[in-house]
Amino acid sequence: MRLINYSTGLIAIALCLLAFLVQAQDKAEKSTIKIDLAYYQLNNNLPVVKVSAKTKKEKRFMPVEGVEINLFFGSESSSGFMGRVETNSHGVGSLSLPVRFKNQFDSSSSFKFIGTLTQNNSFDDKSTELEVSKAKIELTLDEADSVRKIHAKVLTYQLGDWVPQPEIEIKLVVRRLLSDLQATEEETFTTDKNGEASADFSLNIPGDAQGNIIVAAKIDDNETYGSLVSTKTAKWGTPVAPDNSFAKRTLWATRDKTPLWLLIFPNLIIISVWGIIFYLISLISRIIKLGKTNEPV
Amino acid sequence: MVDLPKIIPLTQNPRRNFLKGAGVLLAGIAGCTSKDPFTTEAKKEQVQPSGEMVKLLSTTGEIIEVDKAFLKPTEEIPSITHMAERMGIEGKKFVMVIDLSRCRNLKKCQESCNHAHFVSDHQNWIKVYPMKDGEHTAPYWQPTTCMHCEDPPCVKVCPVDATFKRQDGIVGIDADRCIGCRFCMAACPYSTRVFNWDKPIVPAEVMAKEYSSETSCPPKIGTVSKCDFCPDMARKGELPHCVSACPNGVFFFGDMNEDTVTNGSETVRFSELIRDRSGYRLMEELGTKPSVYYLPPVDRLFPFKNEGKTEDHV
Amino acid sequence: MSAHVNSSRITTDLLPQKFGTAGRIWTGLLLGLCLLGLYGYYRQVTLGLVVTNMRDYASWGIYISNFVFFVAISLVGSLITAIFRLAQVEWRTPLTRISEIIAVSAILFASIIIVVDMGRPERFTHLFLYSRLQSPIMWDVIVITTYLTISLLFLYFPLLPDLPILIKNSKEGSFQQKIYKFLGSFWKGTAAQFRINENAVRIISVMIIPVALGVHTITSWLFATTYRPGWDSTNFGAYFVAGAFLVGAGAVLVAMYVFRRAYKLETYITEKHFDNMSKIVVLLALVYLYFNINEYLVPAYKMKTSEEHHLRSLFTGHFARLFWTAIITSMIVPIVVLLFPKGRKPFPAFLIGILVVVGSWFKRYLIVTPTMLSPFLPMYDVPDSYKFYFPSWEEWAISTGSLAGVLLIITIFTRLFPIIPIHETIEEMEKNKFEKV
Repeated sequence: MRLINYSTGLIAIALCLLAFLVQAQDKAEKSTIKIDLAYYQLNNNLPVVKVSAKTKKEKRFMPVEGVEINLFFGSESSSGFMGRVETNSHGVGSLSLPVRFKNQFDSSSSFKFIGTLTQNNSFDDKSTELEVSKAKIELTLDEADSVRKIHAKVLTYQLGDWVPQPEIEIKLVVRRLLSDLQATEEETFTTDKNGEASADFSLNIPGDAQGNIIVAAKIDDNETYGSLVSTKTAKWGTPVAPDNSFAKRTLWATRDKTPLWLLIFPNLIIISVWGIIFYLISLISRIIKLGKTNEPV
Repeated sequence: MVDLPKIIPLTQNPRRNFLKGAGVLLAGIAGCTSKDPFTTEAKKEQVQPSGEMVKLLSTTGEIIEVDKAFLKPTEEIPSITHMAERMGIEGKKFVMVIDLSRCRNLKKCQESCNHAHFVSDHQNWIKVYPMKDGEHTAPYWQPTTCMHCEDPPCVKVCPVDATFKRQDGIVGIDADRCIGCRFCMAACPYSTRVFNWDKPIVPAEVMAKEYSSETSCPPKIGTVSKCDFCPDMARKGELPHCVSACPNGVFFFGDMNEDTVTNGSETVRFSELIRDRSGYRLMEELGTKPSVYYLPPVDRLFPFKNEGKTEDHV
Repeated sequence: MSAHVNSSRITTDLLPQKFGTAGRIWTGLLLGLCLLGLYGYYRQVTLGLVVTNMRDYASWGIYISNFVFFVAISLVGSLITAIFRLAQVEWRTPLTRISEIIAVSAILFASIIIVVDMGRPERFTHLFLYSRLQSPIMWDVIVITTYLTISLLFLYFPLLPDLPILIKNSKEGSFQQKIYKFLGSFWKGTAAQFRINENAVRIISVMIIPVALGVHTITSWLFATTYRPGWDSTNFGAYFVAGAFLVGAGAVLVAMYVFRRAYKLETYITEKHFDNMSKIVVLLALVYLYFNINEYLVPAYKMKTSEEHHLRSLFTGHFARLFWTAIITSMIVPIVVLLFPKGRKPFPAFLIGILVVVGSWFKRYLIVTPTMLSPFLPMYDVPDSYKFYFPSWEEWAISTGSLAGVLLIITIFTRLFPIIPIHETIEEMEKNKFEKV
């Protein structure tokens, strides 16, 4: 009797453990994901929301590839649905605000973006919000007595009007192909009470073939206003003569740009040798012809 | 990871011209990496609602219905013609600077390059060599990519024009043209080219795509591959995978015509960097004129440690 | 003393004969090796070049060294047939067709083995559609095609006078006779025809020499136009040509002996022929040895860093045994043995010929592979198997198959056509008798 009691007890404990393990397995199946949203606007374009997905693996954050994040503008509803973004191998993706939200965007002074992950097999549901206040940068470039100056003014949209904003960190750069090069001696400027910041431009830098460069003022990752860039093109660079080595006749060029000496001499040799070969073949046909006439052997 | 803003190229986009002039076929997808939408004026979303609704589950447990058309608002980036791929991007001269004083052999560059280009790990396009030039000279790690030489010996010897030099300095490979003679591999003094001896291990949907020499994808058996300086990323305004992946900022990449290179967090003038840090090129005496510069391993960030066996190949 | 040469006896002696047992076993063996090679190639085409042991460092292996070997041997045609003809070397007559058929089949299989080495052989047409004249491979394609054509003509023109004899002596209506008739039923042997024929042969004799030199020089440029240690040499053109003549002459020594024994041609391929040919081999071996000394001693004196690993691997390292064996068997031993009259007798000369050919094959292997395993930058970040190279069974099968193919073509040719020109021999003997009188 006691034995049965003990064994029943053991089985019960075992079952409980099993159930706990199974539950723990269930819980361990899905990991938590961290979604970060960032706001970015270039000039007067519709803003872009950048999504970054990370998960914690062995105490380090690793980017998550291939998850689909739903983005909403204003509210998590069907009317606020912006679109869906799939993260790339670096765990990031971006989506520009669809045109249909333009009016709403233009009339608000601040807005909310929501990024959600739902119905994912590997990760728990997650929702992140980003609140941004609308701001813009007015950029002017002037040149007087060969002194070049950059003027930037930061304005925020408050109560239907654009108001200058002081105490904002701003950078003045030259836009290059893949990054921005610091255009001034100081790395950053802070806007004064009028929301303005100015600096001299004294770089001697190559531009395109006409000497154009793109000068920009940018706010990098501001807590309230996100990232903003305002650009202007100016002929402040030195013109770069295009490199036409590509069009020259070289040994490494395509076949239509063979060096002349390689085109002339080998072909002369080939033609003369094959000319002789064809002559020899004609000799064969002459022999054949001679053989056809019935001459005595 | 710094997100780089997209910019409009300074010169006219040659791709647009080719699209207009050459009558492009929208054949396939331009890159193996997932698509990033552009934010220029020209690419404003013009998706019309389709009327077909799809259900999404919100985090609060509600069901939201959205129009199916809004689920994929990004337009497919039309592929560049093969002719445009062979010509390259006008007005640019890509250059890379590798800072040997920062390299610690983490091999993150190798990992990310292999991942992006479906390269098996016995075919690394980037090799990180433990170097020791002379008996008493200091050892250091040297990441080596394709040098994209100005006077490329590999391009000279290719019999079928399968490898070619572009006007933006990149040496590309057309895997649809390559006959697998491996003369280019014999000619390259930097041992940077690899051959697909076996069937490449690539997901089926990538294998089905049309080959693009800008992504060097999908790799094909019996042809040669190598580092391509990721021109598909440059067209999107992004840095090559190795440059973004390196946590120590070893790789700098940029346009020599703009005199600017960046490693993702620092942007410097190329001429100043080379002048101040005494940049040099590998095997300069061979006359290949590489596009990859090295900054000597002085004022090292990390001491040289080789846990694995150093390849002493004498 | 008969004033007329017994031409009918010469004809009977030199007519192609049916295969005996030995011949059939030989042909069967060659066919078997060819089939094995084809199977190896089938595996290569379906599974990819991964079935070979070539990898990213040793990306050229025995296919390429076989290719160089075949191109080298094919130069014998211009040596014996052309140079001897121009120099009016009298004893060349029995050897001209042997050397010419060796040349033709060798250069044919050189082209075949090159296609075998390609990673994408189905794109062979790209070589013609998209060819770049700047590439040494294109130059090689052009000269090899030219050389093959000229060699075929060089085989054909001297064959014409023999065709009526073959037609007459073959079974009426047989397949063989049909071949002979197609090739030369129009040859009546008139003075006019002979004049054209001799003119043609003279033109080819002159033309084929620069083409032959060009073929092997341009093949050497496949290596010399790269930067690699061991290949970056200004000496390569002359070095390769000298080696080509040597291996060709060695091959002729072997072929001479085999045909002499198999077809009982002792009256035609005499001991004097072996004597003379052996002396030529000595001369060529000395020349090639001279080039080898230049090629290896001079860089070794300097021991540049980039070349040090390569030279050490040849002299004392991984390839040392092979290197010294190849030098000794293909040059030193032949020079020493053939300097003695006893060494120039048919059988010893035949053995030396084999040594020269085999040693030369390994010499070409030593030109291709060791350099590839001494790259400028260390061999690193690769699997260990990449750092060595020993051919796989498929590579051996295919290479042996190609060699068997060359021998098979020669064998079949001998079965159909007289290996010693009948008409020329008769003419030669008549001239000798006339001179003696």
